[in-house]
Amino acid sequence: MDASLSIGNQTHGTHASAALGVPPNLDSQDPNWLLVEEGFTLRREHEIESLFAIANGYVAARGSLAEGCALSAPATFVAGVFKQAQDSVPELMILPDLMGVRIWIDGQSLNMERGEILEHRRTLDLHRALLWREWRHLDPDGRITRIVSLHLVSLRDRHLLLQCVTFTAENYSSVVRFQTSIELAEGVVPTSTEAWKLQSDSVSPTVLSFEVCPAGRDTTVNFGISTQIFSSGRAVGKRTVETSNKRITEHQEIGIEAGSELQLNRLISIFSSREVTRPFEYTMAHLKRIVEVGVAVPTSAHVSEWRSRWHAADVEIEGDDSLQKALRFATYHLIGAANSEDAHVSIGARALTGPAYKGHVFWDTEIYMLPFYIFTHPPSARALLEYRYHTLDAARAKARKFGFQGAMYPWESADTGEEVTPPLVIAPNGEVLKVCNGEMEIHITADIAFGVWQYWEATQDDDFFVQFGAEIMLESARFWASRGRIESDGNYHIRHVIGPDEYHEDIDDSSYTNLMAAWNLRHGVETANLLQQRWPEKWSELQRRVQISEEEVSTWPMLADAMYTGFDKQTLLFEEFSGYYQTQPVNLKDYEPRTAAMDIILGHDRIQHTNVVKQADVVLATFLLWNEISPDVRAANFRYYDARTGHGSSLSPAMHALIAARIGEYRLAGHYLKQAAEIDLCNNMGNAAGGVHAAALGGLWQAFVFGFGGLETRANEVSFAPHLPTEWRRLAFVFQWHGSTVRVEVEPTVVRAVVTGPGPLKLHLEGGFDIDAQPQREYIAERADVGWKRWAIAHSNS
Amino acid sequence: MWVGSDGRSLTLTVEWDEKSMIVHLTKQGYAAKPVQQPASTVKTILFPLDDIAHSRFAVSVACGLSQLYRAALHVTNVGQRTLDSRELISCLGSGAHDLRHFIFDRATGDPGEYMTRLSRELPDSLFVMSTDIGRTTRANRFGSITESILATRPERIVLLAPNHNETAWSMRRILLAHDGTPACLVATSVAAELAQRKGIEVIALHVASRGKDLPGAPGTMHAPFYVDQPQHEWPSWTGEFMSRLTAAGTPAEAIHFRLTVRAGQPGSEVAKFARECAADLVVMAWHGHWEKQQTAARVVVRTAGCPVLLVLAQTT
Repeated sequence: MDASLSIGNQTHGTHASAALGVPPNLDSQDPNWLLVEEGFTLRREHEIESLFAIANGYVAARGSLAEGCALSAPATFVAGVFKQAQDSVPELMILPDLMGVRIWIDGQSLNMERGEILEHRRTLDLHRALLWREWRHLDPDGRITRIVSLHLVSLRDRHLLLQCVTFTAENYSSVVRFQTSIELAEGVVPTSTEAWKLQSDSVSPTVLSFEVCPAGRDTTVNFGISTQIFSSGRAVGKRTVETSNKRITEHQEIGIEAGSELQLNRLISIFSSREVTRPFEYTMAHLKRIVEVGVAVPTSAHVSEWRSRWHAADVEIEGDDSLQKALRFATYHLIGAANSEDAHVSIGARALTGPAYKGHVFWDTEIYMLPFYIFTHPPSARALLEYRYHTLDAARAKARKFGFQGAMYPWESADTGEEVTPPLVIAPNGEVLKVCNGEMEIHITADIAFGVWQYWEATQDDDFFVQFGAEIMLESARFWASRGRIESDGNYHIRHVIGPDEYHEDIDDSSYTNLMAAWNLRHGVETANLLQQRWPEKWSELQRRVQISEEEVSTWPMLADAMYTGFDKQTLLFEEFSGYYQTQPVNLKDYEPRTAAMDIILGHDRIQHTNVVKQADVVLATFLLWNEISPDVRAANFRYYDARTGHGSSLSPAMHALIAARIGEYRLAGHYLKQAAEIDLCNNMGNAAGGVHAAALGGLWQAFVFGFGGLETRANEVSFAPHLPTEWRRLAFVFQWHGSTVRVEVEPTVVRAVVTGPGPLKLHLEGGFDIDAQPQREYIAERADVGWKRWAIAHSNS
Repeated sequence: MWVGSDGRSLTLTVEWDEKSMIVHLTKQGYAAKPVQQPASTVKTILFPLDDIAHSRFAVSVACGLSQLYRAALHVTNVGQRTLDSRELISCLGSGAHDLRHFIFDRATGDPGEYMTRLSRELPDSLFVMSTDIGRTTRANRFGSITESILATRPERIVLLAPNHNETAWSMRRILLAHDGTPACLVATSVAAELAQRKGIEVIALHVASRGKDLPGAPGTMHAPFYVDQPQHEWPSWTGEFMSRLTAAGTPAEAIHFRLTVRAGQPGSEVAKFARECAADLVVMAWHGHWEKQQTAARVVVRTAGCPVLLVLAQTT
């Protein structure tokens, strides 16, 4: 197909951003809001693509170079869109690259590997979630081209992606061709309708549309791409669309004069059959609306939405810029990972930033990420927990399969909630390792229940609790009541498990697992009591539907009380699992410094016989059950296990930072905080190539807020025990509690708190005093010789 | 007339002047085979030789590499005794079949300086030499001539420790030792070229290690520090490591790389694995720091049990 192409005149100056209605340059921005990659290091490209990914919880695009390079791995992901080949586990589908644009100048390809890069910078504006690229290139024929591009995935309108490219021919006049190509592979088919017809004006441009049908699923995903071109000079061109059985290719060929600019705007719409019944029609109608308003309006809406989310989530640190940036990087990716409008998806281990871990969801969503959403954006937290409710039947089926009752949640889950843990892995040393986690790493069931309770406690969202949460609480408790048994010693034992410390497989009585199981049983009882007292109709309905009885529930407290936890009153330690103390001692300091995980250094088989702990395990339990464990027990276990923890999981350093800060081991806390901050951002580990470590990012946020901020929540009380490292001048954070927003600022000599919303809230300052904080008032507590003075009102905001 | 091991004849033409003797081997009965190979990156094999009687294996390696690279073999007599050229040709044996030509000369002056000068005059050259050429002056050191050549940090050098029982060498298995740094790219390219010429795979070995001097240039990739879930981490890490290993010019599509990871001290683990997998050649980058007794390269050369091709890293 061929058509002449009229070029619109650019009316908003010469910079792409001006046309977009966003500030023209990022240089004046606070560097703590910008993630910048200067130059180009080919071998880091996969990492950069992950770190610079843009996402809104529904769709995501990796931050790939539009024109590609030798190591480009561009990808689009839509949450919940999985494919599954026969005899394999489902995986988040890598959808066609929507941001790819090849550029040809006089028939010569413009790319980084030909000619000389004069300038190259990629900048992720974390505050506005805009991905910028500035590239100035000297090609082998002496032509200098300047490219400024902007990508965004709208947080306001989750089905919209925008790409704007400003092209400047600095020293030549030529014919420039922009080429977009969609490979027709893996169930990708063009969707030809009236909308295909070429239009001769740029206001109603051609729509390139196609549909993807993932293998093994009956889902369809529809895409529509509309391209607009604006020129600062007089330009004419033509548009060509070629289709073959392999690809659809759209060319925009335009003459350009030296010194003039072209702006290419690409508007992309996506709908899937997961959320609408006629995704193609939705795509086209959506695209039509966007084309009519142009790019500036949706861009502003997107920026506004992000501003709002940051207002409710930003943690400010004065005194350590690298930690500040790392935390904002974490917060950015956490905001972009969740979709409060979709209760049928959860967040995979690498969120939507890369293909690693196949988009599978693990326990770390509830334990490491969920608190961020509970305390900054409860609707997202609710959606994540509803996903667990909607997959409850699959968890029940898994429990039945293994001969248990209630719900046994999968170690790894995808779209259906079934167990999708791969059965085997071949390690690079040739070892074939059986993967037992799906059968044995059962603590995930209690972790999910814990998340349900934590959400409900923080939000008082009774509607959620009654509709969804209570059933999860009961079915999970029921599972624990069936999973172990009271043995001859009178204790309830749970055998053949794997705790968070995955270096030790098929062990008995993992203390983390058992402590959490006991917690789950007790809160199952509390749930049943609450339902009977406050929502008897729901209790009756559950009695009928899931055949639960008061008699059954009445056995749970006894099981919880009899739970074997390995606790020793003399040492105050929880034995990590039965027989842990008999394992071979390894002095981890003998292996420092190192760059590899301890199971690589010692080998998979050997490490199982040592006392090296993979990650925060007992230590994590002491945090989750903080108010049930005495301070001396917390401290004793932290010190004991910290010396034995290899931190072979990315989750671990942040949790150790958190606990260390809480128990006053500040130097150690700072060390772990730095380690946690570098997991994705350190440039010589290659860790993030397959996507960012979403749970580690959630852990980092928790380390700041719960660790250094010292935020603790109980049923009806909020407490702070803040600590500032000496180099920090200020720590400020914000969180939601019972429908109110609480802002806290900590400086070396003063703590400030402001409550907005319905309030009042009871605030407790550790080492200081309680106050019933009234809404819209700022309270100040100054440091005393020991602890803090009484709260005082600073001024009224009303 | 010289007869190769397969019974076909070789014609030997010898030219000489005051400095050197040039030997042309013309093959008879060998059909010219058009080879679809990229241009060789090695034009000359520089082969200092001090004693034929103890160097049959080294001769075999030099000859084999000369054939693979389609490079001239430049043999320099650096020993006390003046070698007989016919003795040398005899020593080449079947390896002489495919030699395009070789040059046989005798070092004048200091042998180390002579060889170094020769390498400067002959770009795209590759040293092949025994570790014990020249007198060994200190314990745990190589021969003085070997040491003096190493001190000049040649771009590429194949070293053979004198503990080989074999007399004939052929290359069936290449082991690439890779520390995960971008500097190893040069070694990867060298291994890839050889593998492509021979039509064999490359076993890439990465040793997870610990120490104060761990490399860390941008783009470096070590064995993972975090293995959250091995069933996902290993496929992901392996894919990324291989992507980086074959990035930038290595013809990955033509060569099969197989990756394996070990843990321990890099030098001894590489050597150990080379012996385990019966590698015929270890290729590794080195940074020219030869003076330390226990550099990984020195340990590998001493104990791998096969020739070791050291490629000077780009960053040095």
